[in-house]
Amino acid sequence: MALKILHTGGRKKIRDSVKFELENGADTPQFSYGKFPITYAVNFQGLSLSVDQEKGMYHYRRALGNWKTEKNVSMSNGSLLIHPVEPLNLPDNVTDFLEIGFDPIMIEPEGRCVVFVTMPIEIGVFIESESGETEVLDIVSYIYPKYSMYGNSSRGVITRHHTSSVYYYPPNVRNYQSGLLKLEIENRTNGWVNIGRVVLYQKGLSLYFDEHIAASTATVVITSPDVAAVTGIDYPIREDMTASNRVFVSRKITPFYNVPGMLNDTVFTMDMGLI
Amino acid sequence: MADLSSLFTGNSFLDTKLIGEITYGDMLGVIIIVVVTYLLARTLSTLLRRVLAGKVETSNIAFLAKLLKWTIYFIGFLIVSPYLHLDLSALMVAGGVVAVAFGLASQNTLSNFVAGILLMFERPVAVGDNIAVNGNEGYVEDIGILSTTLRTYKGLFVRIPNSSMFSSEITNYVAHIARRFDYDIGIRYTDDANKAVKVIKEVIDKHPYALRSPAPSVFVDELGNNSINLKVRIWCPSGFWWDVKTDLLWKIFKALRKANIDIPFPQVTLWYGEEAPKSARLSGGNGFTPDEVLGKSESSPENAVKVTK
Repeated sequence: MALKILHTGGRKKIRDSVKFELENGADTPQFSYGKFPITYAVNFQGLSLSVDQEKGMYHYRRALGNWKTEKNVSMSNGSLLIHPVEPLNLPDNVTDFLEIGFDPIMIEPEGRCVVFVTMPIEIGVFIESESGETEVLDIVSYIYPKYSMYGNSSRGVITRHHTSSVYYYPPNVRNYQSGLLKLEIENRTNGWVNIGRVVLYQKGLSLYFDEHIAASTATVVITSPDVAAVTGIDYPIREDMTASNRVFVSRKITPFYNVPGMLNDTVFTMDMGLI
Repeated sequence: MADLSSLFTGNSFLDTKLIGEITYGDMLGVIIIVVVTYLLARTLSTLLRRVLAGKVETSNIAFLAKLLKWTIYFIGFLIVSPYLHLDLSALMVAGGVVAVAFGLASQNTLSNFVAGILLMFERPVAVGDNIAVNGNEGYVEDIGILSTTLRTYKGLFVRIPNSSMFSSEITNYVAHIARRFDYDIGIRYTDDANKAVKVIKEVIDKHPYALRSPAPSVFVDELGNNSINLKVRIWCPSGFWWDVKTDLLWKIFKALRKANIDIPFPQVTLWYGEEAPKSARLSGGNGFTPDEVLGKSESSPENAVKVTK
């Protein structure tokens, strides 16, 4: 199926919109995200999930292999939201930073490029009351997490790490395992720079989804060979995408926030290397 | 003060007596000083709250703000007392005597108080941190003005006076975001060390909290008396190090066992007199011959240890 991707293409200093098409494999099974009635059941690629009503109480059951959970929900009526969420919740709320390592890209002086990388996805299950208030019911993932550290132990951040290839066109991905991250990289220095990783702050990681992909966008402004400001952009990479529910939780575990001066709202300044 | 007083003299109305020796001018001075003192105390205590917010415990901020406010009020009272024609000299003498007595009696308390203030600004520990101090290990429950309380791993309540806390060596296990822990793992001389390293690295790679960077290192550290000793160094988030350390060791052991690599018991090889040494039982993992493993010189009959029964 042909999908149109909105894209600021090529190495251009002036932002201009270029459209190109993606043949996202029609035979790839894709998970259906969205809003569903509260009594809902799905069985997909080893994941079984259901909500049934018994004596006025809703009972949520989920299993992915041997990983199972059950919850009781007391509500009069509402909806079930199943959305892709940022991969920073499992197995624990350890960090607010996602690090994606990729094959290094050399960027010419004052050059600009747009690339796509993959990012892991967690599946968030939310309940929504009639008044519209949502709450996380469960988070599940097909991807096994791995953590890393950006910087050093006295001045750095723990990151959820993911390694990706670099794509010049949106790759075909399984939307229940991986999402796309569109990186608009700009080299504002007068020399060549190498960049092989980005670190994103959770608050700036805005996911959008449609029936085929879950995706997010970030800009990377390189101001010196070792420093780049990574900003999450709250904007879909193509038309008719739905914004995912956020699972942003302001954490108070100070040991993981040893980042004086590195964080400013949705901007994370990588000042300890780009490779 | 003389300048300020002069503003309220030489005026017939202001020199008019209101109560006793207190004139209208004195009263005006009192009102101005009281208002200024109040505003100053309020502004500075608010400023102090803002400056210390997020750096010092909330309860301690409130205490320090109150202390600052009442100190300013006291200074204001001292300034205003001449206008009210209060003779504080007797009070000063009495106060001095009381202060000396109080100082002697509360020497330790004052030192704890000062140490508490210094600790608040130095912040070597925070509530919830995992620390070791004066032989006590545990979680910081509270950092007070006079003392710091710990909850030890056994659940005991330990109160440490701040003066002791301030002068002691403090180890904060979670001050940095990540920390390293090590294992020393011995394998048999008959096992393949390269294979063991590979197996251990695979186990570490699968653990989410064993950090990818800084990368774990596994290497042959020592050729010991009874085993080839491998050193395993792993970094993990500080808050999880104990869980990871206890979890990974058993997983590594199981993985090594599965790969037919074992951890040897302490052993002594004995050869009797003229008897030729028997071949060691090898698992065939490393491709060495028994002579290479045991050492040519040791296997030579002339060098064999003679044991007298």
